[in-house]
Amino acid sequence: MENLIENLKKQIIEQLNLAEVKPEDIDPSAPLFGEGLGLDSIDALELIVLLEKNYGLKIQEPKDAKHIFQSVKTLAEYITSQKK
Amino acid sequence: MSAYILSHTKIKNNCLWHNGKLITQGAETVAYTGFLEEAYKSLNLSYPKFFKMDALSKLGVLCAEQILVDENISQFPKEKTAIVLSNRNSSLQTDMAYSKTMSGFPSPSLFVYTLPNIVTGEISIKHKITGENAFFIEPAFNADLLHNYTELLLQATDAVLCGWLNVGEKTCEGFLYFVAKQSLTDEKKINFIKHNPNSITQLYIN
Repeated sequence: MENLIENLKKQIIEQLNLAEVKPEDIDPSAPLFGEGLGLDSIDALELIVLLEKNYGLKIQEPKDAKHIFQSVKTLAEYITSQKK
Repeated sequence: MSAYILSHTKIKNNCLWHNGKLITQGAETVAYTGFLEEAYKSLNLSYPKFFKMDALSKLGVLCAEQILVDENISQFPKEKTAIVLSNRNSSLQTDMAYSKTMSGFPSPSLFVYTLPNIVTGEISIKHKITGENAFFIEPAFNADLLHNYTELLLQATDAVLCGWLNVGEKTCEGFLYFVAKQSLTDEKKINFIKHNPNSITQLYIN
């Protein structure tokens, strides 16, 4: 899980062009949207692309997205759960 | 309508000038995309969204920043400030970059920049400008068009941010200037340039 979280941080920075953010700046439990990284709706679409491109995952139920994209940690938990 | 150009900024050949003064310069060997990010850092701007923008928006935001943060300019009401921009290549570079992603995973962040007037929105958002706006696609820089349209707008608004923002495969050229009604300018504070096609052309060329 630790490795997955670190990889996700790097992938999010690259995919979302967060040029002034370093992996260590991202708190895995901090909200991705609103506070925390302050991502917007376009970033949400980029995260969906990231999930599909890097992990082959599509979110089947749109209502689940709010929880999955809550933080880097919840994103990692979702990826781990889908691999089982 | 008597109006004056109060401030002007130009980016060309990896150099950024404001009111004729060289503000920052990049190496000629650096691609313009690299220069735009170098310029952002050298100006000590703090606007993380800048890095998500396409080159056209970065160019526009950098040029506008020089003009709009000036205390002589920032006094103009944002709801009575218009933006009139123009270029030759529309959003072609971003259109092509987005097109390349379509065979795999189409990029949402590229897609949102596949219109030339997105840069108008980016400038408006950063500086809270809510006046009229227009974006013209022209074969070349057209001082007459910009002048005439601006003069029309000044019948109903106080000031206009105007200019040319053009990005090509290897070229990146920005020229923005701020025009205000004569009656709203303070002659003691500002070096005036009369707003007419000839003065606009001279500022663009020099």
